[in-house]
Amino acid sequence: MLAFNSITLAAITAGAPPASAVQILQILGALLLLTAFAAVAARLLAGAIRAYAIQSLVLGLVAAVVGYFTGSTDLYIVAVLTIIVKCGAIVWILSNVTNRLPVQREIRPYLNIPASLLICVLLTLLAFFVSPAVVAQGTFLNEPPLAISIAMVLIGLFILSSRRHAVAQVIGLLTIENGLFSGAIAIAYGMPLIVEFGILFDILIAVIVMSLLVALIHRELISADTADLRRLKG
Amino acid sequence: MLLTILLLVPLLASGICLIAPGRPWLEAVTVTSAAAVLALAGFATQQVTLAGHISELANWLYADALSIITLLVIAIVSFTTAIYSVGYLREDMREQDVTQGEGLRHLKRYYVLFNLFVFSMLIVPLSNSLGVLWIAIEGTTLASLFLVSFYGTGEALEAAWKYVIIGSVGIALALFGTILAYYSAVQILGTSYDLNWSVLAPVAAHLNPSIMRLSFLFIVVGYGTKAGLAPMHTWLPDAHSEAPSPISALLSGVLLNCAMYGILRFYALAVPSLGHAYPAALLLTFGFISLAVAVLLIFRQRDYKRLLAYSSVEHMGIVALGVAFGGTLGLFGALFQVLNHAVTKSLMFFASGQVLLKYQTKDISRVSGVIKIMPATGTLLLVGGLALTGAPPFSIFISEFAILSAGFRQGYAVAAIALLVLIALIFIGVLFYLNSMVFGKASAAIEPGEVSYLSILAMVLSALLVLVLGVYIPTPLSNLLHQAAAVLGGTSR
Repeated sequence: MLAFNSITLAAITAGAPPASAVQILQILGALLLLTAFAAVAARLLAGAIRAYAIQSLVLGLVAAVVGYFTGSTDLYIVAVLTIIVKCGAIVWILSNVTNRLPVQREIRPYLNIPASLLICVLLTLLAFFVSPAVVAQGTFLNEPPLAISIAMVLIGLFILSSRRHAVAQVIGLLTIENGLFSGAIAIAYGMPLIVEFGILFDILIAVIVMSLLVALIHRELISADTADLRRLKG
Repeated sequence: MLLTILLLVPLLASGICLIAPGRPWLEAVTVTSAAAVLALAGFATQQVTLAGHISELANWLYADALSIITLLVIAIVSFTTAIYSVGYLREDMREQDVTQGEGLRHLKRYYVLFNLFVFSMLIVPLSNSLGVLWIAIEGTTLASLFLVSFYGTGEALEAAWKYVIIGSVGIALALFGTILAYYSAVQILGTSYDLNWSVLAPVAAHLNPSIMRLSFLFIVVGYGTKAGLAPMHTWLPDAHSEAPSPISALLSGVLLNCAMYGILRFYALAVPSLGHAYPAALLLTFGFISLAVAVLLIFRQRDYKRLLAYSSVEHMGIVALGVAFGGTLGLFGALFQVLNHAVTKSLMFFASGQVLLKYQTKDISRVSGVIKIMPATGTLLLVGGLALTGAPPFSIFISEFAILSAGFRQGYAVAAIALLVLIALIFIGVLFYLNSMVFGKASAAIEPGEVSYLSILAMVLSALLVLVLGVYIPTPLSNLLHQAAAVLGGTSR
């Protein structure tokens, strides 16, 4: 697999040291996956938020590294913006909301943490199993990065559905989004620049809006536990 | 310049509402903006019918017949909803002081977000880039979120939370679909190209089919979540029933169609590279699940706003089936169904809003004798109900008939018969409940009299449109629908 990667990479980026590129990206990819697991393993919201911050930083680095080896200035801009918006603004907003909720700072899982981690390992295996089917003839970095993106999306979905705290659910959503973002970089060197701007802007607004909603829910129900939201049925 | 101005109008209106000093300003600005958008949409329709398509702002904005259909739906329904909102909110906030302080802020928030919501929906059909299309659809969720939670009750907040979380997951899947669509053309267009419809459509036949197959699956599931296709519809009945009635009308009449528009655009890209069978099978599956879920839940519904919400799931399913059956007739029927459903469903939500204001309950069993207490609203509720369930001479009858004939003609006879049975069941279910609400004994505790005449004006406009289109389709509209069907590949077979 590695050899195949190097060949295609060399074909695209004449002059760059391909093997090292692949290695750097593999390490960053592993880090991405690790931070997704860290978000699952976190007992306190602050821990999950920190995991997300590191994840976004790594994602920014992935964009920068791919940008370096493909000579795309667009990806540098994306990298810088990702780090500013995600590690900066979004993390600040989420921490702020969490600090304002006086008692509930635990994640409140429906499923305990060891079982959650086990499920996430299985989801990751699934992702590595299905990703060859997704990529037909890879252009550049194909299988491993895409498998990692799919794994992150699945783990994000798992966090979203297994955590009761509203802020934890937002982190699940953001993990899904980071997975997709890394997938876009892995398979297509990212989207057109203006689209990336728009997506980042949308996510920032989404986090602001959801935080406001969490604050409202907390004021109304004196809880940010979504299990208390169960009046609407059928 | 036309499309640019059209987009700027509601944005400007939203800004003016933010600084408006009082209620008359908010109302006047919103209604004027909606009327201006409708007029501009009319001009745009004329230009597109003549030229085939128009593009502006260095190709960022693009409109062909398919865009125009969606644009018209947004413009018409947001215009009637703007008028209705004025009447509804005057009555709804009667006990609050809206000249200053908290009351005014509340009212202001409604109108600011209303215009912003309309703005975000207008970008959807007018954007050339499939990425911007995605951004705009996500934007519609964010703009409408605090309209759904407008009443601030526990239920409203719960509905809003479900709406934003489920909607965002759906939209994230659609983003993956969009990324894959981008990737599917990398081999032809290079690694860096504008993800524009006008760039992709000419090369659609050469897109990588195995990636396009996956892309379309994610698009249908992702945008389908926002379009209210079952089994991803779970946010929809909550949001529709907890939102203020004019917002329910916008959600159901327009928002769902914006998401459906996203599916249609990708359908038009998928068919040339994949052939018709696979996209049709996907839409057929989700269409039938939607209809089945709607039938089951309509029969055991106790809340009339939720009843209408499930009817939206049903109609989105019918649209999906119309597209799946395909052929010029099927696509024509599906697109006409989009327009008819939007107008009819908004009429129904308007009428149900009047009932809610009068009876102060959403419980079907506690509402009876509407026609005695509010003769105009009762009549319109009945007319809307008949129109909604596909009774002649209203326009949904025509579009459903077209879809059914397309089913038989394109070799989906079994599916068409099943569709017919499901429609008949829903007809019975909806009219059974409506009958008990409209007729029956009027409670003495409720004072007779209409709630608001402005609201009735909005309802009469919608009802007239539904009736007129049921009897006679004007030639320009029919041409437009055929052009749009051609964009979707209706003439290629």
